[in-house]
Amino acid sequence: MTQLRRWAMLLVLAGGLASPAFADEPKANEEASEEKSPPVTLDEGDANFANWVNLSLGGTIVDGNKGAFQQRVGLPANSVFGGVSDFHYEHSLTNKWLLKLDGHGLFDYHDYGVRLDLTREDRGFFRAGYTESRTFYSGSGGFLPGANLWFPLADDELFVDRGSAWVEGGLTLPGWPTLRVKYTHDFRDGQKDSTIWGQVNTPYGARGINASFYDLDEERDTIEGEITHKIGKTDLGLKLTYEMADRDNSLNLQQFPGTPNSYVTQKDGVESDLFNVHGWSSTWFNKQTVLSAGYSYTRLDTDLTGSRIYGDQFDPVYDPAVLRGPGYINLSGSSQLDQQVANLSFMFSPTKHLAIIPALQIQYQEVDGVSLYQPFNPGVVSGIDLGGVIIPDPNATGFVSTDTSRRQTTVAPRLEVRYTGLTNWLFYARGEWEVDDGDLDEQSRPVDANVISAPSDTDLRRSTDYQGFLQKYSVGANWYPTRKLTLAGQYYYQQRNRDYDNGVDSTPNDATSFNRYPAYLRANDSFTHDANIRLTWRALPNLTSVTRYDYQISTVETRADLLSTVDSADLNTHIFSQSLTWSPLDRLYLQGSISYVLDEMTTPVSDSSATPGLVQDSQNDYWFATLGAGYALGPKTDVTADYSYYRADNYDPDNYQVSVPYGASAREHAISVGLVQRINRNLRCSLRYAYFHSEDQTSGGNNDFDAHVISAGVQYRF
Amino acid sequence: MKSFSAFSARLQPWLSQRRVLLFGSVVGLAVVAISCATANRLVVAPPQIPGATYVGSKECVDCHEKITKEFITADHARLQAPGKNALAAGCESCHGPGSKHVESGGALNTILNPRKNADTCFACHLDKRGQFSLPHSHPVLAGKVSCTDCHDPHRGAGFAGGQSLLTRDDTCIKCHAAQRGPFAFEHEAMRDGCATCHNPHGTVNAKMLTARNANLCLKCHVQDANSSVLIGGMPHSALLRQGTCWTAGCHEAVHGSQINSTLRY
Repeated sequence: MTQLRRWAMLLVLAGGLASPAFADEPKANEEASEEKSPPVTLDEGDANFANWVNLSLGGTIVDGNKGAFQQRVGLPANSVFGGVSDFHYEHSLTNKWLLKLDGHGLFDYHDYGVRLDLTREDRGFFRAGYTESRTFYSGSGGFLPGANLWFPLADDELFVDRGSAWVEGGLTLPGWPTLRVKYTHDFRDGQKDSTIWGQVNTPYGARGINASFYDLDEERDTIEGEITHKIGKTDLGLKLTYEMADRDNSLNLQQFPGTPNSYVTQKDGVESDLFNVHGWSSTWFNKQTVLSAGYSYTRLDTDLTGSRIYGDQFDPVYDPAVLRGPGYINLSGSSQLDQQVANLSFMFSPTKHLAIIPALQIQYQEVDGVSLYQPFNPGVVSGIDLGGVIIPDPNATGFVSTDTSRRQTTVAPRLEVRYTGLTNWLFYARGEWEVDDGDLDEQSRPVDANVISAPSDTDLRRSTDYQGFLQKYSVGANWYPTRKLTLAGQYYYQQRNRDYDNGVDSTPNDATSFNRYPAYLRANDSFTHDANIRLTWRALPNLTSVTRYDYQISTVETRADLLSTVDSADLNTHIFSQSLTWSPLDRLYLQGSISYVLDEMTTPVSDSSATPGLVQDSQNDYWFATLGAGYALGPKTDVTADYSYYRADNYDPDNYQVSVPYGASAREHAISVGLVQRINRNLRCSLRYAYFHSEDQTSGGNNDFDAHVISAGVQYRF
Repeated sequence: MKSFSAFSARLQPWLSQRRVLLFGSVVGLAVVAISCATANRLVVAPPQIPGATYVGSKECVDCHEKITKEFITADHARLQAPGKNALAAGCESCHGPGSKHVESGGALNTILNPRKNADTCFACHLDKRGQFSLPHSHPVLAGKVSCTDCHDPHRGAGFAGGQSLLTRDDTCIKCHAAQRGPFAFEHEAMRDGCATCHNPHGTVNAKMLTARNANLCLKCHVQDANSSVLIGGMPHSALLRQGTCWTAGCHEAVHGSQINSTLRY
């Protein structure tokens, strides 16, 4: 079927669904009831109906980049979609059982869900459900202006399906502990884009702009059991979780297309078992005084497999004769993570208007891991060392082992104070601290003599003690000078310091050393000031304005071994936000909002006159505006209209001969018009048309699209 | 598709701003003129509950005892100032005016649920509305993710149990498990949290990165910015010509590596 035929069919179907609305005249008593309870534009608000089913049918017509459309709008391109968009049914059964059924099922973009809830008050419940939804991604790479180079994936319309199935039961007998048991199966399957791009040859040298993708295949099964009980003034809880996960993912990229064996496939296989037990209690001495405590223990056991292989297609079989680039085969390893978290808080009010909440969290984490793998690197002279005589042997590569262990303790106290002594005012202040103390040992060493890799990659050791200190101080106030006016303001200062002491370091850090990582940084500190103010003003009964301004400034300082401290980054963000809701007539509302953002990150490299254009300042400015309106067109008809505009203008292509320009520049318009016709108190129909226009300068216009989306819906409430 | 493209091209000259504005105005006025004679009723702007009024948070306690009891520990409890002017601040700040919900005995469709629609969250967190509208953001507006998936609006971070026992990145890791590790060679930045490089609400950059170019890495890793950018003792100018640190084929394993200490892959 051609797209135009689909379009015509959609219009006919949509018109057919909507047309009965104009033929069904209301009865006199129905009109009278509407006087008391006026028709509404929302689903909420009418307590007379507990159940509903919404059916919808729609379609899209896209001119331009379909992958970009799908990613941005979340609908399949040039396709018909529809089904049950929402369903809810609840019914009281005998013996106080309440049955609830919810669901939706929209074909062609895999959005399905069903949920059963059977509950008996003071007895228990049984719940089960399944959900699945599709997220679209666009397999675009980078664009190099000047040479006009653009290397998207052959099929750039990517998607990942995520889903979950679960069954849950519980006992809620009065006076007895509440029990809950749940089993969940989660999955993620599909392909998504990556920003790890492959390289291509250009007139200006090699550039990493060739699109790549992840192939995901993940499953997770979780069993949870929870018991909660109240003894006197104390609420108690205990929860056990066991989780088994299996991930077989791969990164797929192509280096220098057109050259032999340019396809790279890196596989990462992970099987893990996670066990968690946590318990908590809260004792309520009165409504304002509560002591709470919790403890959690987690054990994560992980087994690894993996490889990184080159070939003439994705997912090739390893061929030692292929001497293309560095990689590895036969990765196998395991790791164990043990984590304990405990917390304690006590909220109390020494006076009527003062609340004090001290809290403490302590965390201890222990990680140990070992692995074996066989590296290969054609750039390295390879062979078998026989008593100082190297015999080249590209068909053999020895094993390398890694051994890692890390211990970290984090102590995080916090203190919050609230004061309500002034009518219509609330003041608060909070201090948060985190003290990290840890040590890290990493070792990599060749097990065999014939390891085909650079020694600097495979033979190293570090032992690092590190300390971190984070402090954050917040103050704020909420003021309600009148019922129509709210003022809120908040400021915080955050400082994070990290110090590294490298006791063992196999890579020298002096000026002659070509590669000083790992164990090179000695200190990394950041300082942030953040403030925001909000004004909510109901200027008139039919006019509400919200104004908000956020400002953040940060600096990052870094010190490497044997060097002085560098001001390594400055970050500045201003966010102006405004919304306005106005109902000039009872039958009309207008809503608008705007966000205007100035965001910049600079580093010594982007600021350097010695390396102009090599790395540009990171500008992340944009503005986004919406305008919406709803209007009662007739006694039973509402019309709505929405418009949104997005603009980012950060793209400066002037540096294309030096590097790759990355700044995001785009312009988007989205217009939609909707019509809702209430046929009777139970039935309403809707028709909606939307138009999207998107320009993406960063991709050289290759991601541009124009799209039309039309959909019709029927809602039946009962 | 070609015929559609041709149709669009023919339509383009007619879609000048002035003509669209004129046409829209005429249609709009005609609609208003016609409908004024036929209807007189109320429509309300979302998110609101038609006909409902504010009753105060005390009304919520009878049915929602646990949530209202623990709510005093939450950050949102800081909205509840004493005095009549702040009557609407509290449960109804996010769930809408509750009179109809109370009168109906808790009917499902008489109260707003921010888990399904974040509009009431955006009433105060207006900046987040803009961020969630960006091309690269979590799909909150599409209803696939909700604010409450990451933030507990009803309990404070220090209150025992639940999210308070999560560590720094557990909120992200519960969905993005592949980034959890453990890795043989970890990226130290991971200890400071995912937000070191990503803004989970949305950015103009792919993968919600706070910077799309090499500045993202340089903010911690630059040592010298003169004629040859020095990172870790190695001149990087020629390498940075090829792209960012992770797109130029050098440091792909940004979250950590099982193989390589310089996070090569």
